[in-house]
Amino acid sequence: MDVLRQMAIEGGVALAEPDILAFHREVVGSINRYGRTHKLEIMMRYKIGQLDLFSDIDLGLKMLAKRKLDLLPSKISDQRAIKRIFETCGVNGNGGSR
Amino acid sequence: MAAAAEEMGFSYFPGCSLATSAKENNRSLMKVCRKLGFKLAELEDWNCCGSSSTHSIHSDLAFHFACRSLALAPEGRPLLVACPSCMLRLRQAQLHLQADPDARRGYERMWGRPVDPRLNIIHFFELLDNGFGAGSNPELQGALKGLRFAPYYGCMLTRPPAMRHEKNYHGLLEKVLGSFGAQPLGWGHPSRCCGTFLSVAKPAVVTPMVNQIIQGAVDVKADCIVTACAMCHLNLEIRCSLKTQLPIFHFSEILSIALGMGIKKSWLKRHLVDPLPLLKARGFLEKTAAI
Repeated sequence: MDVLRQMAIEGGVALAEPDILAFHREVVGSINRYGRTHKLEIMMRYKIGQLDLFSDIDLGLKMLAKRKLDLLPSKISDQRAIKRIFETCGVNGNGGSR
Repeated sequence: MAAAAEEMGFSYFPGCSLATSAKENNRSLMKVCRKLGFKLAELEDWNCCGSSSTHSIHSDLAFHFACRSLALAPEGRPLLVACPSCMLRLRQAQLHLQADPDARRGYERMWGRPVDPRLNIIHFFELLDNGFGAGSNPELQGALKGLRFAPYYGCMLTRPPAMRHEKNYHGLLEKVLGSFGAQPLGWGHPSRCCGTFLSVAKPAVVTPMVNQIIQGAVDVKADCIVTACAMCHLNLEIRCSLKTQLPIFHFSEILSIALGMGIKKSWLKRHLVDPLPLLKARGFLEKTAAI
């Protein structure tokens, strides 16, 4: 399943659900920046990218109030290791081809 | 009851969910482990396992993310993982390293150390899969008396083909919590997918999936759902649109009550579906107030 999906992405096949790929790229981008995922930023960047600013705003505020979303990312200290992984795999910061 | 004859040391990989959105899962798990004599030392500078998103779009990237954390694991200590999704990613990377000499050479070049052939990656459930329970202690046997729960494993503990020979621990929630007097309920959704990452991109797909799961638990008259997975926990809480909602507990939170340590108010405050009325009705709140 992963292989077929990756071949389709690499081959530039028209995507039936481009927003799902956009979400995956935000997750990978977050790992690239911090070494870990920062859920609040992933959700905000994704929503902004989709021009969908209001659909989950109530939920987002509720999650913030319940402290389910951290305002600041948790980062690893050895960021160079993460850069090295992206370089080795020959992909850019969101998992796309260089 | 004893799970460990003497204190056992583990490296611990919390993963992004337990470290952030499911801190109550992380804290209750640490507390339970301390009580049971398992000494956890968080893996220093661990990174995200790559989650479902990375392996969906780039297998090599996912493999290397997992490898970096494996390379950080000190020798001679098992690596404990609580998140079923992280467990899959780390274990699959390890299996790939064991099977492929080229992958091993790449790992050694990248991380400057050989693959540890003895590294034992274990899921939290494995610690309890040795007959752990209330035993013959009558006080412990009644610790969860009156609690009717729907055990929910999600689909991440269901093994992919590469891990088909490994245990998946279905039945453990029922066995362990049942021994403390809770009543596990048979229902049709213990392994149904919660919608995982689609929760953000496709909430219209996930909400009916979650509603079916919650409704299934309501139909068997469950007081609550007990989950094995932090991500499932979040989806079940945030995507249910039914009028009747049920409290969703992490397994480790209920274990904390079972072991007489109560459930901390700071954990409860992080729940989107308020568990307090249920805990009060079942008499578990007195223990909670004490800590």
